[in-house]
Amino acid sequence: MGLATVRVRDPQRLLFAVFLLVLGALGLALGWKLPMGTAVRMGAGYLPKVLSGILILFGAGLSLSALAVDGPPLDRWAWRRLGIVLAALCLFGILVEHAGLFVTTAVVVLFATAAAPDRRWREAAVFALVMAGFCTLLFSVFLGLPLPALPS
Amino acid sequence: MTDILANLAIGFGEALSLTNLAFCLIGVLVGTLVGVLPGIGPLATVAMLLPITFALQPVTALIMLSGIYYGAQYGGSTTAILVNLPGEASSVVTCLDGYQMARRGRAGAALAVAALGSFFAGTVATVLIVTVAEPMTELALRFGPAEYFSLMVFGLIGAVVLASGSVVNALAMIVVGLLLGLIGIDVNSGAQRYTFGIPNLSDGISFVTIALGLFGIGDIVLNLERGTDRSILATRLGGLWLTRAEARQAAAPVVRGTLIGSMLGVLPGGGAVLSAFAAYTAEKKLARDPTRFGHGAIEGVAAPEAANNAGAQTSFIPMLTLGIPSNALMALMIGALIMHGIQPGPQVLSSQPTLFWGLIASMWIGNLMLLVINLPLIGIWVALLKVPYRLLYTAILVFSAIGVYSIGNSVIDVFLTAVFGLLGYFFLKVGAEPAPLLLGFVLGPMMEENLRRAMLISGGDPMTFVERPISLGLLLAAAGLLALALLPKLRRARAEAFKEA
Amino acid sequence: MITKRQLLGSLVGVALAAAAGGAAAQSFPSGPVKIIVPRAPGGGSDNITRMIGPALEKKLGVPVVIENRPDATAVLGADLVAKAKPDGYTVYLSDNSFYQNPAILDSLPYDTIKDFTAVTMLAQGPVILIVHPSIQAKTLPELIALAKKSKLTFASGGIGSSTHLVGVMLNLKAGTSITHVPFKSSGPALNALLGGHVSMQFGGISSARPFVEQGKVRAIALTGDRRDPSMPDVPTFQEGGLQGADVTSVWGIHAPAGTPLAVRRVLRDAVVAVMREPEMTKTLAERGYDIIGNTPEEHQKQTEALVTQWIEVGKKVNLKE
Repeated sequence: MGLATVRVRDPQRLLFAVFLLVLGALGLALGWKLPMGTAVRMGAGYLPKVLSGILILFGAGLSLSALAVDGPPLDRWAWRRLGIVLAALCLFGILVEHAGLFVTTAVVVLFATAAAPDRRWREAAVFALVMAGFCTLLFSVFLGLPLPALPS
Repeated sequence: MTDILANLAIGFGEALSLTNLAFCLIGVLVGTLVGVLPGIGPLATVAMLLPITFALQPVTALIMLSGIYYGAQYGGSTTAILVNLPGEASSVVTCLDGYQMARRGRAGAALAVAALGSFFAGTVATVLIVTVAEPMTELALRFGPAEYFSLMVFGLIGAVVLASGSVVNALAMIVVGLLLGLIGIDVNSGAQRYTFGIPNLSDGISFVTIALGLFGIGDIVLNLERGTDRSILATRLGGLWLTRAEARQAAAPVVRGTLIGSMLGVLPGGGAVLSAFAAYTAEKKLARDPTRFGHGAIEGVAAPEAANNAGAQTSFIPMLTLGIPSNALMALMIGALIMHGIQPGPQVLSSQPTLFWGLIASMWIGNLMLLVINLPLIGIWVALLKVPYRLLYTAILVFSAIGVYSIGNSVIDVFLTAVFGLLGYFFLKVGAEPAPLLLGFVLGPMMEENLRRAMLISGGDPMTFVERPISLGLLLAAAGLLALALLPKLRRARAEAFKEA
Repeated sequence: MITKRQLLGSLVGVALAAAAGGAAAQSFPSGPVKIIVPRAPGGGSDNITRMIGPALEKKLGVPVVIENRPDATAVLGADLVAKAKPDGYTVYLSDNSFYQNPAILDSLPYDTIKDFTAVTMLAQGPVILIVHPSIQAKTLPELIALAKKSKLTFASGGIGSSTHLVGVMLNLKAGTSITHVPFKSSGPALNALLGGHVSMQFGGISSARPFVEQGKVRAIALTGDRRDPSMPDVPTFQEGGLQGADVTSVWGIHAPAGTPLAVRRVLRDAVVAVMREPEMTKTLAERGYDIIGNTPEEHQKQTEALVTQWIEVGKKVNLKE
């Protein structure tokens, strides 16, 4: 196939390497304005830049080795389940200060259930109510966390 | 010696009064509860309960508050073992092998060894406080910024050993952790770093946010896509107790963990955090077959749990002998003393003997209570794993969200947990283990602070790190550890030789 | 030109506002009062709040909720209060950072003067200068002379804290260049001094006193215009011949701008009454809190003066080191 094509032998490693490159570049770009100082009298920007640089080196090295050494193939990603679980967390964040702990807990439990392969909605509805009651009693009443129990 | 016995008699006389026993029990029960709940830490609990203790005798108040502290150490390991949720830095290590034990149906054994190991460590640490508190205080005072820096370097190199996979990936993850640890206001200059103008980030990302995201959330998604794993787990629960072989395997690690934890716990700020990591590292290095670690090795639970509890106990030493808090919780305890009209400091031992010795005696009693409470609880905890996973994970999600919210009463932390959940899943998929990242995150800021402090004090002379004997010793140990880690081929060859033999 | 109608209108408006304020004060408080503490539990700011909290609850007859919103520069908690409803139910426990932030930080999400209104200055506490016994100086002039000849270091409880700023002022007024070594709080700073890793430390008197009495550290001077009754042998900085280096730790209460004066008076009177109870006064004194309890009007002037003062200092020296 000629010189133009390079075969990725370890896709997992390459993906991790790309992550390191991106993070290192972000670290450099966002920390650019911080004062560097000297090795003796380090400024706030000394370590951010040094560490970002090291990450880029790691990323570069791992990219090369991903092209040279064979590794396991990429796993399938459970995008939908991942999305639902993360969205459930965000939903908690959006609701809790407005709807109160009781309603939030019930909604989040029901919403998150959508990610389960063996979900049973009726069971989940009962569990949502039980959890809502339990959490409200435990956290708002017994432990006295500054979380509103009911909608404000 | 007779002095010590007489003092202990005073202490036990005080601690065994009915009121003190009752409040000790309340303390350890509340501590266990908040320890089990992810994110809700002993610090917030003690702060909330502080006003209530005004009505109590000072010694009773202190007994209850310290009960919450070490009760939370016991409780924290439960969540780490059962559902892979580390509520604090030391539980991260327990997650590594404890959760794997649970997945293999040995949750009961893991919980039992954690409780027994913690009790042994608590007993030894109490004896140490009684006998060698003074010399240990002297040791703590010898640690200046240079020594702390070298200790952190040692700890970071040790972090490589936490990973059971690629050493290079582990090194890269440590650096990622170091970089994440920079977020927030720079202690040495007050400059904002990577805060994007979000005030919540000015004090850095909270450890719990990252730990729950990386460990807990990523693991939930992985379990959901694998689907059947959990039902296997529920049917294979088997014996709740330790087998004889397991007990034999765990004995020496518990002793070593206790020693490591007791030493490191005395160092204010950071020592106690390192103890569990150091104990795990030591066990993995000493093991005949280090490849078992990360896959449910009982030594990997026994040693760090013992170290963690020993460290928690000896971290009282600077507070008791100097009146200097080694962490925020100790600062609260000092506040409690002051509100009762007792000025903490080196004179407490002579001016308040019943308080001093009563508190120490109560620590041992509290540990005994925790053992008695925790062993029967194991059955209940393990039964919890029989709850179908389709329900269990929604509960884990909600508890995590509430816990994370309660750290700073802020929803930003909840959203950040989602971000780290995504990262945690990503790391699982590309074979990068999160434990070294977390250690880098915890130790990085302390390392930077102390590096810069040491340079300020030495006037910019880096020789300070090798001129000071303790610092030099730690750096040499770190170099040795690095050499061992960078010779994976040698190690692999040796492991194969063992298998063939 | 102001027309009669506008004048009349504004007069009516003022009267209405006053009446509303009066009515609000009569019914205030009718629900829980929340005090936002910008520091973690266990620090000086949290301690004083938790000490007066339960008594204040009794005095006001409503729950008093103490909420910690800690961050390194106390900006987060202040911002929350700045944007809260100005009804007296959300107030802010302000410490030194509140006054110094405008001079130290590049930007703030709120305006320290315009977004807040004062309730009272609760208390102040002197800052003490202690040195390691190996330092060959017994008095402030001796220490200054030594600092000019050799390289000394001072430990503080963090950038922008009172313990840091006394050091800045000492260097500024005495013409010394003692190296600042910041710690995260005063506890570890004291630890470093006891171990002899730094030459001197600025800290609170209650934590320093036992070590001074045992001879493990030596007290040189403390801030404020008079000696502290608990350590009568320690001279003030002014007695040591140094004018204008005084910075005391302060703790006050601020409410969101627009909180009616009548409501602020109710809060202030309740807090002061609580602090003046003999038991409480004694406990506060032991902890190193020197009660002030001035009126909202006085505290407002004080707030403005302190903020201006630090902005001026910030123009002369780099407060970030």
